[in-house]
Order: sequence, then C-alpha cells, then structure tokens
Amino acid sequence: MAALNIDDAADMFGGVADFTQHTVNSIDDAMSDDGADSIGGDDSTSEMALLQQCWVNEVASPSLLPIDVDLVECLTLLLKNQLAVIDQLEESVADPMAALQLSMYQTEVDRVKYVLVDYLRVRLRKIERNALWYMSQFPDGKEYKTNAEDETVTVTFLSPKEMKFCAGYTKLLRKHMKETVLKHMPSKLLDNKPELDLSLQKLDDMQTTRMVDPPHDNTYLLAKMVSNGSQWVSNGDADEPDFSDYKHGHMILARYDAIKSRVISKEVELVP
Amino acid sequence: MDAYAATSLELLRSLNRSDWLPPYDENAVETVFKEQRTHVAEFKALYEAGRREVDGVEEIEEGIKPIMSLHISTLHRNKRCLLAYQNHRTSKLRDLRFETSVIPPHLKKQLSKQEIEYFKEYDSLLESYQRSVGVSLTSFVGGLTGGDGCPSTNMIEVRVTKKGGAGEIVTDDGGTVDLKEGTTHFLKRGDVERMIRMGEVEQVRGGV
Repeated sequence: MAALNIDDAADMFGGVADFTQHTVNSIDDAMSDDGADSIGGDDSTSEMALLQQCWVNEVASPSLLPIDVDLVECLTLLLKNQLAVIDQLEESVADPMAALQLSMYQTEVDRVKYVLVDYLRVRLRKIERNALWYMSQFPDGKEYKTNAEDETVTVTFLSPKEMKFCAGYTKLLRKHMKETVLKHMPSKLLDNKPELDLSLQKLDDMQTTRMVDPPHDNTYLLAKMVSNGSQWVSNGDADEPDFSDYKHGHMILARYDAIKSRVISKEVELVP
Repeated sequence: MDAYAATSLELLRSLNRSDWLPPYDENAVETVFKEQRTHVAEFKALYEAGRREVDGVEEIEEGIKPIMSLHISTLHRNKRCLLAYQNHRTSKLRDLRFETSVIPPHLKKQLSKQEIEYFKEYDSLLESYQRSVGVSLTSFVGGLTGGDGCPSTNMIEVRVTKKGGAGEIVTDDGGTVDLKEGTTHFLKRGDVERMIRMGEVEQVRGGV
C-alpha cells in the first residue's frame, strides 16, 4: 500500500515538471468517465496549448484577433469541472495523499485561470480602446470575407458576450462625452446658414477631424515563423512581402498589417 | 482670452504633469465652453461686417476669410482637446477599476460628479461581463508581462503592512487568521489577493 502511494506521488511530480502536459491530462481526466490517468493527447491540439497560442498572439497584437468562442467556453467548463473535483477532494483532506493532490490541483486551476483571465482581459481592454471603431467595423462582431472559391467565410472577431459589452461600453462613452463636453458646444455658427454646420455636438464629425481612431496596426512587431514561407498559399493580397526565403523557426521583424492574415491562419506567431 | 485654445491645451498639459490624475478642473472646462461661445459670436460679427451682396450673390470680403477660418479651426481644436481630456481621465478610471472596485477616498476628491457616475456604470458593465464569462477579470492582474507572473503555487507568503494590522480574516478552509501589523503569514492566494491589491499586505518575494 505504502509503495503504491509513493509511486503515485512520483507520477504526480512528473506531471508537475511538465506542466502543460499535466494540466491537460488531469483536466481531461476530470472530464472523462473512467478517470484513469490517460496519456495526454498531442500537445499542439490540446485546448490549453491552443489557448496559450491565442493568448500570446493577443497580448502582442495591436488590434483584436479572431476569437474561438468554443475554445473559451470549453476551457471555462473544464475549469468548472476541475473545481468540482477539488471540492470533492476537500472533504477527504485529512488524508495526506489527498492533501498533496488537492494542493496540486488547486495550483493547476490557478494557472489555467491565469491564462484565461488575462486573455479575456487583454481583449476587453482592446475593445475599450477602440470601441467605436470596432462597432462600426464589425456591427455583429463578425467579418464576412469571400475566399478564392467565392464562398463567404465568417470570422468572429468579437464573441457575443464581448459584443454586448462593447455595445454597453459605447453607450456609456457617448453618454459621458455628451454630458461633459458635447452638449456644451455651440450648435451652429450662423442662424441662416445650415450648410455651415460644424457638427460640434457630435462625437465623430467625419468631415474635419476624425475622432474615432482605428487600432494602430501599422506598427512593427517581432514574430516567429511557424511554417515555411515557401509553402504559403497566396492570400490574394498583392502587397504582401515575399516570405519564401523564411523557414520554420525564423524570427522576423515585420509590420503588423503585412502579417496579420498569417497570424490569423497560424502560420506566424507573435512574440510579445 | 489669451492665445486661441490655450486653456484647453493647458488642461491637457495638466494631465501630463500628474502622477495619476489632477483634480477635475471645472473652471477651466467652463472657460473653454465660454471661449467656444465667444468664437461663434466673433465669427458672426465678422460675417455680418464683411458680407456684401453683389448682383444678388452673397460675397464675403477676402481679407477677413482667414480670420473666420481661424475661428472655425479653434472651435474644432477646443472640442478635440476637451474630448481628449475626458477620454484620458476615463481611461485612468477604468484602469483603477481593475485595481479596486471602490474609489479610494483620496482619489475621489480629484473626480467630477459625472466621473464618479461613470465609474459606477463601468463597474456594473464589467460585472455583468464577468458574470457572463464566469471568471473574474480582476484576479491575476499583471498578465504576461509584469505582476507576479503565472502562479507556481497556490500558497503565498505575505507580510502585513497596514498600520494597526489588517484585522482578522476567515480563510477559504474556514479557519481564522489575525493579520497583525508586521507579521508574515503563509496563506492561500485567493484568501489575500484582494488585500494585496488594496496594499494592506504585501507579497514576500522569493519566499519558499
């Protein structure tokens, strides 16, 4: 019995050393019915690895990247399930073995949460920064593009929840600006000349000064090639620089506009 | 008034000089509103003085056109500066919301009535977003760069810095800990996270 316990403990420490693997394993375990210590799937396809990639790209990019709504929902669910497991374990906390397990599960949950929370927060702060622009650009949070086969492709830039926040935030912003500035502005210059309207009471007058800033996508960023540039399929953008000399693993310094579509297609990874 | 748009420019400079936010300058904002009205009045006066009717077509004396357009530019500039002023202040308020859900009293003095209202509404907006996603976005502030980094353990060592102690807390496990000033404790992150952000306790780095 004692020997078995030591083995178990060793297994668990092995898991801690390779944390990503461990995270995926045990959360998957929590989901699976048999609860056996399955050997984790391929790292690159696991939910946690996917989220980490999205997170790193999102932190580095100046504007919002598409969001995988299902992935976020899935991880939230996994977290919830794992917390239920922890609650169960807490009842048997008198057992020293369970206490160790509990502490490790707790840490793991914290770490998954850390990435998830920061990912969502970084996105939210970006939405706030350019809320009016995102509202005008993606009125329903999605972008519709026509691909080479003339089919319409939908890309979700803002999840429905983020969209709701964005709409609420825009309303708050407009209200605050109206109360503090715009309603005190002169409404017209000359009574008999309506064509001389300066739109001083509007937040964005469109004609003279653009008050709605787009995100600064024309900044230079460090990025890493995660595929060979010579194998890239043309994305129809004539302005795209030639990447055919760059191979998997090369670091590049590029303008974000130029590589944005490659970041979205996961051929390039940003380096924060 | 001095140079055109000088007051609103000074408002923006005051933001730059301040560590957090300068007190809301209601007087200066009012002055700019007044300037705006003056610009309109002067524009009107110029228009009336320089207007000629030639063969039923309205013409404006060439010499005064530059002054008129200067007034228009100033109107736009003042509006832009005021919006920038408010926008900067509200962005600081949003940052503050990620630190604490209540405005500390010493900061409250710097804010206008509308800004306090803004903070409240932003708070409820964020709350409802957090409820919809099921996680609290104000935990683990710091993110990928800065902060404490990704938690490597769920227990942390903290030292109580608040004068007179931070009082007794009930931990997640149901125990109670008396946080006396200057004492250190080894506690679960979740139990003291809020107090770290409030500055009542500080994390002892490189602990265990």
